[in-house]
Amino acid sequence: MKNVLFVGPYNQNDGWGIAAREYIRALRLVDCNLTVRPVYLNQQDSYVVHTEFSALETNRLDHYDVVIQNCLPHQFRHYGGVKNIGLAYFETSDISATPWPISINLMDEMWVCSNFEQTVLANSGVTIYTRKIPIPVDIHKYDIEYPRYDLNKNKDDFKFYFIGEYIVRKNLESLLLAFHREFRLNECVNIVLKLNKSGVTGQQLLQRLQENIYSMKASWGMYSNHSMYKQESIITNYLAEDVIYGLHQTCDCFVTASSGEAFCLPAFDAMMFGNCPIAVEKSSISEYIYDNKTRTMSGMLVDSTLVPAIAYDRPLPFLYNGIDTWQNVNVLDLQLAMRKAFTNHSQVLKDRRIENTRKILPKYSYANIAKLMGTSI
Amino acid sequence: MKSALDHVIHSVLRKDEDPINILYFGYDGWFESMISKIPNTKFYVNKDYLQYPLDDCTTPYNFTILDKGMTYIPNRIDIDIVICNSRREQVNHAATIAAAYHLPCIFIDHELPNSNTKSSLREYVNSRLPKSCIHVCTSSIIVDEWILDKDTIVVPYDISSVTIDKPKTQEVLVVGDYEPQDQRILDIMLNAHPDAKGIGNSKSLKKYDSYESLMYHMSNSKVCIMCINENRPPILAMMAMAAGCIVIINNTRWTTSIINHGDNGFIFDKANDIPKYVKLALSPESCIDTDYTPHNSTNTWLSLVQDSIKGVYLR
Repeated sequence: MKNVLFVGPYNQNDGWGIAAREYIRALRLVDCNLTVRPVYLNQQDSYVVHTEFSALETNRLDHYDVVIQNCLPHQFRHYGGVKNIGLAYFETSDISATPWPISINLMDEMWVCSNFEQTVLANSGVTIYTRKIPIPVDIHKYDIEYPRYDLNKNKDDFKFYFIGEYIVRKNLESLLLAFHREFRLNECVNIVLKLNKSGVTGQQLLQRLQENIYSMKASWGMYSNHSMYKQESIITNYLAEDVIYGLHQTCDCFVTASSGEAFCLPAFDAMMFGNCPIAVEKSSISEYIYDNKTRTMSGMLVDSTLVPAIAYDRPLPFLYNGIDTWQNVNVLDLQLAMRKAFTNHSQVLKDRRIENTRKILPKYSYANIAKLMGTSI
Repeated sequence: MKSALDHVIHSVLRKDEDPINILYFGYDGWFESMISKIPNTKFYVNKDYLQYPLDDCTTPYNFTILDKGMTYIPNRIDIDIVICNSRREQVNHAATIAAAYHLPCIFIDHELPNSNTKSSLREYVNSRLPKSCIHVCTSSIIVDEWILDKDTIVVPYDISSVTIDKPKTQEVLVVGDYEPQDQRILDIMLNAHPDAKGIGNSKSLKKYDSYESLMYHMSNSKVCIMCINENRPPILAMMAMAAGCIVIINNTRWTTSIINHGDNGFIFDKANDIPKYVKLALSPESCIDTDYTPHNSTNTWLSLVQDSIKGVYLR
């Protein structure tokens, strides 16, 4: 039996943390001796110690056969005498101008969670074997009825929603532009934004968002009076996973204008809860929204254009600096999709969507992902 | 440059027999004397934080002095653990490096913070040092005063290096730091017995040049007399007790917590009582309990450091 060491940010409260925890849960089912150790990619944000992994943390073996490094690629190191596996996420369409391909090529194998990323790496000078290991999920969580999230809004209104980080890549401005262009004040429709930002408290983020959205609306100039715009519901405080699932079950249609995604767990969860997700077609999200085997579509995909990736809040100096590229959503197409989701929604359609997604759900089970991991380890 | 991930993986892949590399902040000769004896260790000491200059003779053989102002770990060194003392700038430097590289951290202190800055320093240490940091003290009274939100371990003073098995040839030792205005009480202590010898920081006393020489004098003495500042913990008394001396000391809020008057030492309120207590301590009928087990801290330190290295880093 192989001895495996997994080092990753599984104590973090962000998407990296959730994904790392899910990978560990699947790794536990692989026939191996597993040790895990936390790293913290973000020095400021709070974190939670997950006691379910305590036994794996104290597990210490004489030697290791495999080391899985779940971190940013420039932190990868090659260790002699072990199989080095890198695990990271890529959202832009090209990373050839970054130091990452060189670091990745130091590994013996690279794990990514989507075909989109495999293509990105192949086109960016990565020459080692890349294996697609989708982020596993607890497939039973979608059958549970969670307490509804109280939004203090008309319960019968149709609710679009978005869950994610408040960063340029998520392209919140295009999302809001599409929503406000399409829907008027008198229509029974709302948009809910559950946002977070690293290093910023919920209260600070709320204030910043309110100011920025006000500026956006002022720059659009659709209405002379701001009160003519529909009011967004904004949630910026930390929500536990169960409360997030309750939010999915409270809302109707997950919509994202994100310029690039490696997987997008909120979109995946939305789909599995029967909410029609709307996303950019040329991203990894399309890989699960459209199932090749059954030829079923469990959401809507919208058109986009490849543009230089530029952001004022670059997470690293070599990212989003105008050299790499990402998708820019076609706002008019996004509007159409949102209108279609609003007009055609019904419980019958939702039930049919859930029925369809249940067919692909086992692919993402811990057991199935463990099998994929097992072939590599 | 090395990264946090590097150090985390290194801590898991390393073998128990691999040398332990310690990044050490602070040097005043007390703790170092105990810690530097941990077998198979290499110490890297930042030049900025040397209490006094080290030369070839005073630098322990396993110490490497790092350049001034060095704020990162060079690639050639696989640091396993960071140890720092309670100086604010050293806590800050240690905390920055421990956090950046996810290194285990030990916070050592055998003194108390200055009473004026105690609460702010406590808050600073609690907030800056990682959650997985261990607080190591030489006595529970130091622990009780610091009250940090860290795991705490008491490692008493080490006397393994001194000749504890040899018969004690010195009857009375007077020890401590004394100002000119303390001369009257110092005279009483030195005259309390014809074979009284004084070491410490005062014109009438002989200076000791290291922790080891102090422990040597103490372990060679039957009775140890001292008068300490009321606001300072009785470090010398604890060291003397570790060296098997009967301690005679003035009454402070600290001394009553370590000495039961008449059982394991004497506490005086008036200096004139000192000769009486010396007589009692040295009398053949003395029933003072000096039955103690010399503490060899080397193994304690070794297991403490090894466990810390194996532990899980919590920011």
